[in-house]
Amino acid sequence: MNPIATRYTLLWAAAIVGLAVLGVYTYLAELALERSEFLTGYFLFGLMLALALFNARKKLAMAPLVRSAYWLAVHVVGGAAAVVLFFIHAGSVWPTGGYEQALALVFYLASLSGIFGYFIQRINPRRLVQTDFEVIFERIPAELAEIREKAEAEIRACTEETGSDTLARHYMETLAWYFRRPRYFTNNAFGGDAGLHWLRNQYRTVNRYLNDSERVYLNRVNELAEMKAKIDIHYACQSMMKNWLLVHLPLAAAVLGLMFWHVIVVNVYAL
Amino acid sequence: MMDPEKFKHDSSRYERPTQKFRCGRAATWGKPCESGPNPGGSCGGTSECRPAKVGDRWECRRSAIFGGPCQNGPDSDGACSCQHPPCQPRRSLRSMRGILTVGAFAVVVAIIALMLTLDGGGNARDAIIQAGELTGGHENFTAAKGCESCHEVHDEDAGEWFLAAFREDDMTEQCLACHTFAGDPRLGHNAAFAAKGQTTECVMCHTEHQGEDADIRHMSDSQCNECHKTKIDSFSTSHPKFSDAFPHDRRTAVQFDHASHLSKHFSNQRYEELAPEDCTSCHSVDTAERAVEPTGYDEGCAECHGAIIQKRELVVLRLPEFEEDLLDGDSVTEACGPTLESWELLQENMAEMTEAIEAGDEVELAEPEEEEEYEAVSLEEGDPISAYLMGMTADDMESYSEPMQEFVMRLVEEGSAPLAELVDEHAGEAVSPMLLSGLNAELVKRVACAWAANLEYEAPAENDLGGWYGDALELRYTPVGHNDSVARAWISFALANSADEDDENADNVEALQEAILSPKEGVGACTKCHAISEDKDGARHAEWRYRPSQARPYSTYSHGAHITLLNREGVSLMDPENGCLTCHKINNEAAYQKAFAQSDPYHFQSNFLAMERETCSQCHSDGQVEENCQLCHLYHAAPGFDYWMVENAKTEIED
Repeated sequence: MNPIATRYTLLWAAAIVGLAVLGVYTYLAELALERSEFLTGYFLFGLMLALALFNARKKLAMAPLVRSAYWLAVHVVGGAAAVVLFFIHAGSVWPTGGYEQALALVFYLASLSGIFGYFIQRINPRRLVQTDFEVIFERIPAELAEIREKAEAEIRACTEETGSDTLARHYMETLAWYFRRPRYFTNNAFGGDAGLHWLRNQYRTVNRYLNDSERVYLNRVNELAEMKAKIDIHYACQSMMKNWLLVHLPLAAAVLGLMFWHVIVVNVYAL
Repeated sequence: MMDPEKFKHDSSRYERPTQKFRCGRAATWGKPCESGPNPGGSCGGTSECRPAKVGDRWECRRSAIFGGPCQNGPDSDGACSCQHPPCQPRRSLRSMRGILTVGAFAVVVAIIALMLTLDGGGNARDAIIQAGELTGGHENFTAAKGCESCHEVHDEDAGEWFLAAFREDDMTEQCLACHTFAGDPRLGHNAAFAAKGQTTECVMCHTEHQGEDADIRHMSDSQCNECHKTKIDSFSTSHPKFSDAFPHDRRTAVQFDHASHLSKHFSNQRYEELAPEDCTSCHSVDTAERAVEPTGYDEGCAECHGAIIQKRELVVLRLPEFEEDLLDGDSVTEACGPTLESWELLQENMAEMTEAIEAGDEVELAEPEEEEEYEAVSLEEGDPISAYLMGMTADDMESYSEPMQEFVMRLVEEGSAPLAELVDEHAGEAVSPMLLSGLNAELVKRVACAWAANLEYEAPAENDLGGWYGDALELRYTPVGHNDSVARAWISFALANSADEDDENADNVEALQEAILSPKEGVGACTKCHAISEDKDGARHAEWRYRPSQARPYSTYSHGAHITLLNREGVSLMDPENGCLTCHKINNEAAYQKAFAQSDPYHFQSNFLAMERETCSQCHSDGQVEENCQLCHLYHAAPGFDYWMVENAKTEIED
């Protein structure tokens, strides 16, 4: 078993044991007419803080706080455990109080966004590898600009050399739109091939109107367009890998805020 | 694959994703500038380089990535000659994440703060504090005072409020402001037997704020098993057998022999038409819970037993035989007026005087006849009641002559008052208003006057309506009907008096009780049906009313719910297989009536065979009707409500 699998296996085992212990405790406490909500609530509270610390750990890259990969594993397993612990604590899927419902809703959204992010982080890197191409996310605008410049240079050269404006007009009417910015985001995000399909269509459409010398330029432009299609895939996949945090982190912060107030109110009125 | 050439220092600019801003041109998919935004967010790429002064010359410092030094070079003042219009830098992804995250937290805090202060601590505040709606009943009763009906009050003191988070708050006291129980509310089952050294709090079982329709009384069978030594998996399989006489724990208050009535009297041709149709003719089952109260005497018994009541009379006073007349005749005459005999003598003298005067003769008044030897009008013994009241021996003329005649004289002078004094004195409390209710002082005086004159009292009319009346040598009472308060009072009076064997009045007490309580004659006939029972303190009392079972205070049962299952498709409730007799099986062998000959109500034999668990488990078993503990058992002892609730509700309405 590789170290990552071992790490996750151990953490999952620990989480299951911990949840089982708390579940049994809750059951026994209920039988004995004792209130288990406080213990499970504080466990959940602590777990949520531990999950939140993962973000802080990423900002403290210089500090020797165990490898971030371990933190990630703890965050993933702990996040899943938190959902189960939430059910144990609340005793139901949907609480009755308005405030508690808001807390549950935000908690569920944060959990769902986390689960979504986890799967994105697991799936998208493989898809990026399949493009057989690497590009840094922040550099994508520059890469696109460069490809666009090259494509336009090829079109200009074609016009100058062949005296025909067929390819230039084709570029202006169709390819310029394509090269201007990343296209087919949604399709690429979900693993589609619409960009390349569109390119092949455009290629076949214009190809029959070109002579051999123009076709040389068309092939070069097409190569650039295929390169751009890969960048589009990178852009879509990497965007998702980064942007889900725009949802997850604010939701997690909101959960923490709501949770703090919940803890205070419970301690004031129910203890 | 990535082109490694592109990442050389002279062909690739260094990306800084951790900075707050990124180039606006790149954000709009243009070619980003080399410099990138300034830390403050302004465009840093209006010029392509920042020329450096080397000696007295300015040199272009455009990077190789962007083509190296430009042809024009810097201006003479050191400014870059390649100027571009500024872009609008955009926030980096990291910066956006930070803003959104902090913003989300801040929004939550702001909303909470706003809700706390929005309407001066009203509904908005409650919305972020309340963990859910209260159940319907609690919602109503806490509407006026709000949260403080149950929770500690902190007023406006935020510090106190915060400190409350570190204090334990037991709300049981607040619950007890409205709820009452037969025992200690902090003990399991409100009873000492359940105490295991641990006290309970209401909130241990009853968790509020779970919605208007939440069932906050539910307990699982497992929770019951947690404390109870006898673990019960299910009613049908492991519930202990019912007790020998279940569900009866004592004899009935009213002696009604179901066996003899059903098998003998109701089938008797004389009463056949009066007999009840079925059980529900006498028992109001439809709305009954555990106890099924009989319909009562008027509906259930009167038709057959009504006529006999007014024949059961009580002799309170009887004039006994005296050897000699000890009464002062003048005093009697003064109190009562002349007797008929002396009145006639007076009339006779008057007539003779008138005749003599008219004839001019000498007037000769008729002399009263010389007193004959005293012969008592009564040849009876004294009655047990007056003998008891006056502490005399009813058959010892010597002992009672004087006190009895003195007593008659007092009756002559004071009416019923001396009698009232005597009963109050013996009872040790003012019972005469009940015992002598309706007794007319004038009647007593007239009766006493007759007796004082050694005459039988002649009642002016027949006593058809019942009540007090004089009859020759007796002062009697006839019950006016069932539930007669005077008859009940005299029976209670007789039961309340007891005497030890060595008590000098013991014989009189015994005679009094025999006279009043004998089921064969007099008002004692009441006790033919109404049991005389001894309570825990040894005091005997007649059981005048239906008495629901006090046993098994933690059990409940709904006859109403079960009766709807019977009599379907027109089956008679008397049907042994489908009616009431399905559960209530008559025990014809039981010595039911024998138990009423003694006063221990717990020494009895029921008219019915004991019910068995199997009867119930025919329906209440796995896969059929539910059989959980709470279906038949209550946790609390006699749960009720404090009158305060009503007062509180009234005050709210008035306000």
